[in-house]
Amino acid sequence: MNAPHPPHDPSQTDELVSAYVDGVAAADEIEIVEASPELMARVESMRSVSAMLGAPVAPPADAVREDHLAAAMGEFDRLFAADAGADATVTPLPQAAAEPAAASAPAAASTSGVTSLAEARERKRPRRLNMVAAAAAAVAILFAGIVAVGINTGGETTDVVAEASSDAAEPAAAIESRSDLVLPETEAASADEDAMADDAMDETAMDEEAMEDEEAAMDEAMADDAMDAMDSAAEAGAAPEPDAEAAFAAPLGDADESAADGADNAAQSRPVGFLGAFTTVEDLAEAATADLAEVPATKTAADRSTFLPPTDCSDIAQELTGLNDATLLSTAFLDDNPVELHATADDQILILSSTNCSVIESIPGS
Amino acid sequence: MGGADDRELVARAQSGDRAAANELLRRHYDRIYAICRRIAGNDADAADATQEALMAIVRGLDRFDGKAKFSTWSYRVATNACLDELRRRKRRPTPTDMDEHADWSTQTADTEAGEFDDRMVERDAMSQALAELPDDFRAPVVLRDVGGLDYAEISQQLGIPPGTVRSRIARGRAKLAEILAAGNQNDLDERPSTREPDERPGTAP
Repeated sequence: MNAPHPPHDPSQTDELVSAYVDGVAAADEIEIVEASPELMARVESMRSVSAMLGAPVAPPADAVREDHLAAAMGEFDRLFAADAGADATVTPLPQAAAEPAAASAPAAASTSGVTSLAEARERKRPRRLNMVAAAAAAVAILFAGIVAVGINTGGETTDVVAEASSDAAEPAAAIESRSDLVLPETEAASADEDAMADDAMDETAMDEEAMEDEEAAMDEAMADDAMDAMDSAAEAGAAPEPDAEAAFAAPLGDADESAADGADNAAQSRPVGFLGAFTTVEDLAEAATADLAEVPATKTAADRSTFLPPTDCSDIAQELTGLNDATLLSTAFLDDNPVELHATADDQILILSSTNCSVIESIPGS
Repeated sequence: MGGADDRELVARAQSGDRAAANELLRRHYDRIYAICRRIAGNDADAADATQEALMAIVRGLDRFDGKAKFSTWSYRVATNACLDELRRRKRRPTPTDMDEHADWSTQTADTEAGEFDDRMVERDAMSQALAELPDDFRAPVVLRDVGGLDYAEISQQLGIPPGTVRSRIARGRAKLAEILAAGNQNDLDERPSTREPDERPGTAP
């Protein structure tokens, strides 16, 4: 009896040989391979490749390994701390609350060369606060100079200031810098301003894009601040404390409202719905484009809370999309992994891994 | 702790036993890193991917239902983390060798200099060959030859039919063999020096 002939198609030959190498070839396939010296040579070649691949990889340095493990255990601690918190309050842990928890967890990530996104975000805060403080100090110096000028020139400055202070509402970030500005000068209002500045900071200004805008806005605000400062200084001569406080009360009130509006806008931007579990990007894309417009407004935080991990890639998405507002459209599971869908300015939908905020796919938005 | 099997450690970790989780991660770290190293193709990306993989494993631990072996499941998570890392890498500017060197040096600031140098120059032929392999072929090949998963497990993990797993592994290995053979040929071609005996590298002709 003649041995069966090997296939002519090279890809079929490779498949045959590879299956033989893995010990999953059928009896007739084994017969074909073993009857052909050429295929047996190919077997040796594939075995060699397989062995090279399976050869031990040089492990990372012990320090790197320990950092990785410590970071993972930090995440373990954080998750169980979050679970404990959730159990106690019977409400899902919002992202804002989760971040401090992450910061207080055994800071494995802080010792790691490879840091988590949350840690990176946390690190940005002090630097930015320092930047605001430095700008405030510069404006304070300017303020002092202008006070002197204002006193010397008398009422002339107040007319200018009256015009300047009638300007339309300012960005929250600019107002925030102003609240920092007056801290050294108006002790009476400092507590409220501090609180309001913190709120504005937390709710709006800490946003990635807003912080960049803040730098630009701060420059503009410095001019306005100077004008207002002159106003205060001019009026301070007649009724120092109450008028100075009143001069800043209105804009700070606006700032508070502005910050609150910003937060509301972000919260109400678009309903966040849970699309379901999918095994392929194509299926998810189809569901996303079909269902996004019909996501009920009620499917919001409850669905999101089913997510593990409770990350939010909005910051990353904003960097990728250039959109300032919250871009989270929907959530889903893709191949058992949590994903987020974010809108882009050019009407695309980004599918991001909720695990690490990496981009999985970009699909047309409609 | 060392005698406990994975199933027991998983159950304890899922109930919040920190030591069990730690033991589980340590037990599988080397293989997870190896998978990431093979898929990512370089140390820096492998380190990032390994960290992400470990995080993902911890985060997904309570969803692990024990139907598959923990090793199988964790290798799958690692594979996905590595592929994510690769996708991310493709969407950002490719780092120059110097950039990569800088990244890695930051991560291994405490590493001894000799060890560091060894890792930096470790760009073996297989890594380069794997880097040339499309993701669709690289993942099944790595899961098979590095992770030791069988076709059915790979099929389950990657969500592709077993027949596709078989053909992708075959084509992946064939492509690797081809790349490696070409590399060897190039080495052989380049080995005979055309320089004059007194000529040294870097000297002007």
